[in-house]
Amino acid sequence: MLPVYKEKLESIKNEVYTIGFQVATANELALQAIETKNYKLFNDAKNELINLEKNSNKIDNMIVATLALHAPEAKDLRVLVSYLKITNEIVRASTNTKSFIKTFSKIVSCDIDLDKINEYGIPLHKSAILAIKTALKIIQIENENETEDYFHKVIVEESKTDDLYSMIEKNILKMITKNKELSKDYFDVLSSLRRLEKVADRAASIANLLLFAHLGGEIHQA
Amino acid sequence: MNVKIKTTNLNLWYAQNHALHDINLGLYENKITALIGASGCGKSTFLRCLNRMNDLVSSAIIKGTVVIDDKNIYDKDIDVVSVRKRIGMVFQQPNPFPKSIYENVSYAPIKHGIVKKGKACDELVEKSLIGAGIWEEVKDKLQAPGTSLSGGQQQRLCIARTIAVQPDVILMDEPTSALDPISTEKIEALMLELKKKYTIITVTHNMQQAARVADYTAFFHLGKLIEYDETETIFVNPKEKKTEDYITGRFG
Repeated sequence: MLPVYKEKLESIKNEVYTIGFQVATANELALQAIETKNYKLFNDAKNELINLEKNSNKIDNMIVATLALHAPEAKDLRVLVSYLKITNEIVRASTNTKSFIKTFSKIVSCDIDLDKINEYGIPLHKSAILAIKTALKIIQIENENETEDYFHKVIVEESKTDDLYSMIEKNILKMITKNKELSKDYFDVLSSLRRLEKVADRAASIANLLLFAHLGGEIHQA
Repeated sequence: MNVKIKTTNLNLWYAQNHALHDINLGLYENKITALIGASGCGKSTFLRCLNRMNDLVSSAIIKGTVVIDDKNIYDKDIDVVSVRKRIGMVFQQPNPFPKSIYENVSYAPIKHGIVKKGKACDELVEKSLIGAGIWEEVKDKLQAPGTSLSGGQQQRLCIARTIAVQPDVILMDEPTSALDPISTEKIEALMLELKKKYTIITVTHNMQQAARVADYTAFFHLGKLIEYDETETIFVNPKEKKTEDYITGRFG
């Protein structure tokens, strides 16, 4: 492998990891805002995602150039194709996070029972963060067994977010029946928490793509 | 970025055959430029214009200028031998002299008066072999014939021989076409190292090689320069349809 090619692969890998971590950090800040009721942190969370799309485009162009110039094969080809799709997943996770922050930061001033929502909302958020961070860890892993272990951890977290979201949905529907005038606010909460569940879905998709990159097989949309 | 070599309205005829048409090209210092195109497109002819190798072809008529460091190498007062000393060349087939490895490297520097036999010569031979990435493989058998080495080693010996005369520019005419993939990778890695000191112009039929190692790529077709740009642009977003067709294998 020519040094210049090795450097490009390493650079792409690091850039993908960096934008992925921006999404994780934005979610951690948003979670901190909710837990500490320091809602100014929502702005920090939003700021964390500035330039993410621009950086994603930069990575995609680096990948296209590397594919064209170095014609990678086997694992190198799988890795680059996976990264090209992963940047898209990260952008979608970022959009979901921004949407969550936007909606949730509005409803914190409403009369709804936030403590009741946070009972499952915070675990949901924690699982989504853990899913995305665990998926990103796979980028740094070379060992095949470890890749599969981390992949399963992501799937477990993603499954937890599904279950937690279902529980929140049930609770919120109950709350709406008791307090119909706040139904719009509750639906907004539900919609925003759905974004977190989507972040976990994107994490599962990233893990799936990294599994393909590391172990091979056939690529398929998660 | 400095332009090391600039050709202006360069035309070449082999008797009646107009082989190069008005080639205007600026080749950058300390960069690798790849010349690509189908057989007979004029890329090797153009390469040989850069060190006046075509002077050796009796039917060749050259018009236009090739300016290297502000001096046209086709001016009448130019010493052709000194041009070829400054502009080294590596050929398709490794062609070591039928002499020892040591003599292959030391012969030209001694002839050019760069060094005399002795310690300085030994040091130059060692430095050149290190520069060509072959020292470790041959340091214990410097008196063995150059022809006893493998093809890839012979080509690196030829590169050592070229850099021993301390050129500014290295021309390479399909330097890896006779080599296996492992030797090819060694030469490509060496080219990337050498460009830190030298300006390299290489002719290649292997487009992936151009893509992998060249900073700039020039595409020739029927004696004309069709497109010249950064390699990434040529391989990702070529401006000319002919370039795109050639790169994507739609015509050869």
